[in-house]
Amino acid sequence: MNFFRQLFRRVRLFVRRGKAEAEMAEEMRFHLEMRKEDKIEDGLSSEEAGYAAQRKFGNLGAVQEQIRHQRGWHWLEALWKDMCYALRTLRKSPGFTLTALATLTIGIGVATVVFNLTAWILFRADPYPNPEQLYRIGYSDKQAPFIPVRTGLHFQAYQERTDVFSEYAAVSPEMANVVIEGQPSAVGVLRTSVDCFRTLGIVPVLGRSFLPEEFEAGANNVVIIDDLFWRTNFHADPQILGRKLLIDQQVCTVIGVLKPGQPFPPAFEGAVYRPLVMNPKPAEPFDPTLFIIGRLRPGVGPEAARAALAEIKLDGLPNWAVPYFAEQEVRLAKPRELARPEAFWLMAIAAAFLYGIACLNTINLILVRQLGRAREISIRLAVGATRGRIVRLLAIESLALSLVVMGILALAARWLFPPLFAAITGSEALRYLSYWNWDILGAGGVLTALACLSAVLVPLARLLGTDVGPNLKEGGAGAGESRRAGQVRNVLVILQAALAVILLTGTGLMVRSFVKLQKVDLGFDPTGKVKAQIAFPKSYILAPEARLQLFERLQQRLEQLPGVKAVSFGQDTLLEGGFMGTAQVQMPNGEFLPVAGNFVSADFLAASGMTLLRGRWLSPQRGEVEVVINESLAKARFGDRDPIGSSIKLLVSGDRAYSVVGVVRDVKETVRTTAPGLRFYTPSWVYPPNINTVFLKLEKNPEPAFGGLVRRVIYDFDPRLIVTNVSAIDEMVDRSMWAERYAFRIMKGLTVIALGLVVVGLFSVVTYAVASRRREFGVRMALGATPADLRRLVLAKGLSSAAVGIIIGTTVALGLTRFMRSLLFETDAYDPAVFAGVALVLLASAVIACWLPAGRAARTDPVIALRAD
Amino acid sequence: MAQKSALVQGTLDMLVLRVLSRSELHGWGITQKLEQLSNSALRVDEGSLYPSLYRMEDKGWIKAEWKTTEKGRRAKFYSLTRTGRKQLESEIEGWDRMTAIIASVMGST
Repeated sequence: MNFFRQLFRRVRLFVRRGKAEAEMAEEMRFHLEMRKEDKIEDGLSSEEAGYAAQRKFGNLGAVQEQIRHQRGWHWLEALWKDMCYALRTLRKSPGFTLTALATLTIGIGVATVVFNLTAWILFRADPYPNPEQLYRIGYSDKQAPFIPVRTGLHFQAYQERTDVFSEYAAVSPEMANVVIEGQPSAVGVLRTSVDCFRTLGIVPVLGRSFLPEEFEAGANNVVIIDDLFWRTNFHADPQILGRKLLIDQQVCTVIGVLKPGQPFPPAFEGAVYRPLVMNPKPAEPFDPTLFIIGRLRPGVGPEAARAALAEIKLDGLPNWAVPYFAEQEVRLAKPRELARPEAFWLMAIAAAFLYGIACLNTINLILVRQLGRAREISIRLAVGATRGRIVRLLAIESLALSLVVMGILALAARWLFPPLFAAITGSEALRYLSYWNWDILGAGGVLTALACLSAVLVPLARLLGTDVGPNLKEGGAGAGESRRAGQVRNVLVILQAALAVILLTGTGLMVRSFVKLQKVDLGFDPTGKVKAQIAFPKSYILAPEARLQLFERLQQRLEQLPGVKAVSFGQDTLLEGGFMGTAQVQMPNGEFLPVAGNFVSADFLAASGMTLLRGRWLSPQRGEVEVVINESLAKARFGDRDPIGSSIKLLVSGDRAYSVVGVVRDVKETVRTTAPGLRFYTPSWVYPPNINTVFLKLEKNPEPAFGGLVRRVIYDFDPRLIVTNVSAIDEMVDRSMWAERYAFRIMKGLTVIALGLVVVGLFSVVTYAVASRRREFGVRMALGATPADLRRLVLAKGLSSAAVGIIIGTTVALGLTRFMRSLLFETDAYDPAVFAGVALVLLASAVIACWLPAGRAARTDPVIALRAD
Repeated sequence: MAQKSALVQGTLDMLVLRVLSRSELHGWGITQKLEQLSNSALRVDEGSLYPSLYRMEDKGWIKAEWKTTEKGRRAKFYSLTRTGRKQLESEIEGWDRMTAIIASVMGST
């Protein structure tokens, strides 16, 4: 601490040394003048008194110099001079400087941002007060290890009957129609429990939180909106408070606005927040269903808390619900769990490789430069510079380089990164992330320092072995570079090539996997297909038959839209896996197998783009109950027999015989589904309660505005219906590949940069080798070598380095690629095509890098080369 | 005039601290005070006072301030800080111990 204070003081003094010097001089002048006056009083003449004063003072210059030395100015001064000198020499060799700067800046900049992004995504602390105390409360059953919901009854019981949690944040999500300036949109509404905002440490930036009395029925027509909703719908109007919004036909007053990036846990996010009126009744146990986060009381462990919650049994449940709850086991989980973290690890590793390549490249550049200056350095040594002094010169040069790099990085972090990374990743959210912070600048500083240090150490080791004589002679004779110097740089190039090969292999595998994913056969044609999911507010209850009729009328209305070729409705199943999963089919031996079905209207075949393999689709008329089954079900139930005309027994809300009229192709329910399930399709009138989605087939993929049109039409049709989502199936397919796309884009960017760096590195090494072997080439020419021979010689040298790099890189890659298996779709981690392709790309890059220097070698003029000295 | 003694090495700091412990003074004033207190028996290059002053200022034992003297001249006045006061105490203690040791060694023969 004291040391830093002193250092700071010294540097401050140094920076303001002009003033300090003046003050020092003035102080001593005062002393001398006082002494002189004293002597004059003693009777000396003015001149003699001056001399006497000086004699008594001693050597003024020496005293001042001693003070300067004491203040440590001498080394600051020397450092400053060295720095100026370094910057001057760097400016004198712009080729080297620009290459080194570009290499370092790109390598360090990319690594810094990717590392930070990865660390932020993977390791950031949850932004709540004491996040380690927070747990999600959910349950496990036969189907899933953790389902993050509980009922209002549970919530009430937990609050009343245990004290293992000190406070809770509970929310009940729902979709609601919010009408703003005549345009209805479905908005996620979170009904929050009394403690919710406090437990999560959330305070509105504008306005206030909910008051306790606003959680009473009738008093809850208040709403807090989030930042995005505020910006997109109200242009961040600061006068928003007090404004009335129409939410599900209730007039609500805006009382608060949340900060951007409000830390609501995943699955908690909504756009608007309203108080939850809790009134759970055992007769309706699922109203409300809640996502609950509890804060553990200090001293209570999660396992003890879980056990305490498990003790609690609900009373007064209706008979049908008792076995349902009996098979549930309470579970706790941390608030944030990242899906597919491996995509981000892959990015970080790729960035580390790129950084490694950049460092190696810089070392190489500095080595080449140092060799170019071997003569200068030898002369310095010969005329008496200490090795320490030369080391300092080199170190300061790389310090100067890294300071410039840091400066560029700091500017880039402010202005360039946001648009650049948004463009590379295709994620607009990155445009609004700030990169201008201590995390980024600090990490950049550390990486720069490491690169700088490594770039000094290797040349340093070489320097300490420098012998004055031979270098002077070697430089004089131009006999070519020394064998060892060449070897060191060759090893560096080989390492770079190896790193690039590993990086390329990873990217190659991602490319292949990505292409496969995009070509995946879904079993139906997604082009031009749109689905609109519809939710009913809790107050809007329809009898099954009325629901069916409502959808039939809606279908007729939507069929009139321009560009629409077919409309149907049913359960939401396309790419959602949303089949009703509780049905069973009776097998010939009398056993029942679980199957899943969808209850659809007559046009579903056309509107969904499925393929009929045999028989016909369901008839539009009501009559005998027909069923269309998928290939897998046909095979499981009938084997090779033709199922058309047979009848099967299905258990769906009562058991019934269905006559099979057709077989359709299996459909993938998610892009990554490998084993299709057993599926059937029956008419919607058999079981209407679950109908929730309208399917539309258009002539082509819809314009972005189409979603708004559908919403408006449905709102005009019945304002109580909530359109939760209008999605083009093609876009959904696209979206489902986000992790792959993300990793793929970043890997692609990193790899292109890495390849560029390798080419530059190889180029600089080969160019230097050619330049220093000019004399040798001249001799070869004179002795009868043809230009083609020389070209071949240089190319062979470059390519052999690359080849060794490829062999090392491929070997390492073979060991590493299996770690990215979980990101690969139908792609072998040892895919030979990828490995071969990578080798070819690298060899091609080596040829590009060596081509110019090889040409220069071939153009060597023996006379000029030999006469050069 | 009595013969002048050279300063015992490393004692200038202590003497300056001692002088400053009574009142704040400029460099010239310190010189005069030293002369006066020692009855002009110390032989010191006046200039060598300044490196000592700057060093002690760096260490935080004394602090400096530009003020006007009685005669209306601008001068840099030094005064003791809290750490300076402690330092003076410990130096005096060390000095006493040292002189006692020297005295006992010299007196034992």
